[in-house]
Amino acid sequence: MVKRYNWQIGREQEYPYDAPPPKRQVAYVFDTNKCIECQTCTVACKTAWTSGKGEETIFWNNVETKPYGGYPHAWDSKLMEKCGGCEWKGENKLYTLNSPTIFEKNGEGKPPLGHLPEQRDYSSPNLGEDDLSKMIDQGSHFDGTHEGWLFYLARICNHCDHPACVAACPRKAIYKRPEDGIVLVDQERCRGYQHCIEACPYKKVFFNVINRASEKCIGCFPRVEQGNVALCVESCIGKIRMHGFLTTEGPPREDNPLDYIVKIRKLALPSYPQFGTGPNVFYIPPVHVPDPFLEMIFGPGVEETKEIYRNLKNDKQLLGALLLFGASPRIITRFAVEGDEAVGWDVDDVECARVPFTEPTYFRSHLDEEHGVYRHNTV
Amino acid sequence: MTEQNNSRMIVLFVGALFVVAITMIVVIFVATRRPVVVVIPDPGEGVAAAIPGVASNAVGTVGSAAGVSAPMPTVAVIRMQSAPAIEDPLDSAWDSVATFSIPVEMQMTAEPILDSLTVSHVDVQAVHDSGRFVWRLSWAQAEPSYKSNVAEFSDAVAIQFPLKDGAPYTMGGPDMPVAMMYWKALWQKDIDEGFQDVMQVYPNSWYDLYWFAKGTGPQPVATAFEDPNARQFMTGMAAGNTMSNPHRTKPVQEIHAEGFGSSTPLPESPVSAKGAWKEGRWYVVFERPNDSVDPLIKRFIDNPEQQMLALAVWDGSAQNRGGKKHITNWIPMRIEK
Repeated sequence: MVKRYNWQIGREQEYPYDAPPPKRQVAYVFDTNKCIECQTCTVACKTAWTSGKGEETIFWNNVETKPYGGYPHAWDSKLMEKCGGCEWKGENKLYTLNSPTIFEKNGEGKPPLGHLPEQRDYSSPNLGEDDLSKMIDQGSHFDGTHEGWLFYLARICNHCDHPACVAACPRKAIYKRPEDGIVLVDQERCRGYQHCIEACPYKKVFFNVINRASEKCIGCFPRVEQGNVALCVESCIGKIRMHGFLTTEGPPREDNPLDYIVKIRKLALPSYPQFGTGPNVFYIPPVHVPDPFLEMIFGPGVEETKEIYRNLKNDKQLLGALLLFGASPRIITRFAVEGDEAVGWDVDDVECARVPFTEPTYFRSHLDEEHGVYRHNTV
Repeated sequence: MTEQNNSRMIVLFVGALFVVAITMIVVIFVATRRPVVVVIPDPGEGVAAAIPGVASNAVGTVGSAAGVSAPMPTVAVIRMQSAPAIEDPLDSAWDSVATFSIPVEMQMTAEPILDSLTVSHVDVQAVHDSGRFVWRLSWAQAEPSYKSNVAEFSDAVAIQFPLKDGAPYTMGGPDMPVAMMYWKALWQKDIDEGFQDVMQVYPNSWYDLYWFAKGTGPQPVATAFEDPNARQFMTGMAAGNTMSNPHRTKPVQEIHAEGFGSSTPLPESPVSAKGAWKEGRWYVVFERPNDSVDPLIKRFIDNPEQQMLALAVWDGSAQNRGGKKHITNWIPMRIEK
């Protein structure tokens, strides 16, 4: 075991391997406020990557309803039960985890703490879908505050800084790429022991019953290598996702949208940072959900993110970064606000997105003089 | 007066030994930063002391300084006119062959370890004739397990031989290779009943489409996925992973290793095997041609009196797989003329 610094928990932690950080780290920001759980991302991913035999229950991308949904069933609450509670210390946006991570809980030299789901945990991908946090009494009416709440949590592999799957594999059949931090299962070496499935807190490694080996989200690496965003990101009709790279060598850059949103402005938070794997999907927490539940998932700092999000209309630089979500199939590595437009440049520093802060409005008269017909709103 | 001196010396001597032992344990603890676990074997169940971290260097060879070995029976490979064929693992010819009952232990040297013992003994029988070496292993297993699914694992058994003198029993070591013959119940089922496809794993399931697969449902993976376009979704298969082979012809693999986590199946091997489960017991027969070109057989021929084998058993129903297995230390093996 070595000590590695985990910036998400503000301290060093145990990990079986030492390695320099990747040259740059693939990362994502998901705005949960905008997700409508249409599952277009899920279908895009499934069609592209996991349509083979034996992959029937494999969803590298899924969207589940919180508080009750989860695929595989109760993936997160089962681990939280095993971990016991977690404890954060600190204030003013500087927090330290005061409880053990999954690498420390079992003691030194032991595999990460985890749990292996069973077959039936994979049998209901949308259990809990659209279930509200509480029952609404008959005769209730809306008087300004909703009685219950729910939100949609889109999930993919987190391509963690300290992957539990990598730590758990006794054959070293899983590796983290030095060029972009994408975590991959070596499909030649895997012998299907499933220790990675047991260890991954997010249960984003799956077992293929036909190939008899583990399979996981590949971060659309063939696309990333060409400078394109992942298919789940490109296909998102709500434009809730941004795909990019976090700077790992040197301080965060103001003009890198990922660095700016995650590290500099801290608008987006990792999910379950207390497990200690350093996940790289960052969520803008839903502003309508009570803090205690959100802090369980996203750790401390939820209140601050809500404040920033609600004030976005007065925060032009940050709003500019958010406008670039879903604006290009290219990975945006540099952005700027130019006048009333947000501009993004791709990995080759070619402009790939230009989005106005205010969409222009067009008025059309009732009569279309060119065609001599009247326009109307019915189809 | 003299007597008093004597007893004082004894006390001093014992005290000094105690201090030395404590110092050694502290040194090992500091050097490895791991808890020191010394497993003292029960009489008759002699297997080495397991010291995690230093085990691969210190233990693993019979009679080595750190290995605490109780007498282990020598497995005699009996010369026969004609060794039993492997087609029937329950062949009555085995009834007259000497049986060596070998106790197995939990693998506790390398993580992930086995934490509960569900198999106690493996019975070993071994014969050879002019053309073949044949081993039969049998052990009690109330229900066979040959699943391939999440959290479901297959029964399996393996025989390990050193390919170099002094190779540790713990999967060999750097430049100290070992060879294993590994049989798996799931693969036996693939051979006996056909590849265990989705329709066998989930008999009530249905699906809409497998891209580019030939024919109509249930589109067996062994025949309907020959189109390279269909194969592009079968990554393990496309990568040539030996776990993902729908056209398996043997339920056995030859695996070589040079330490934990290094086991690598050979693409070709002369080994064959067959297993059968009957009335609460697995019977697995391994066969290897008596071919002096085979490096393992060459070792047998060069030194028939002083060979070794080690065993491993996996209880699938107890989620045994990989390092979570029942093992033995090296067992002496003698090839009779």
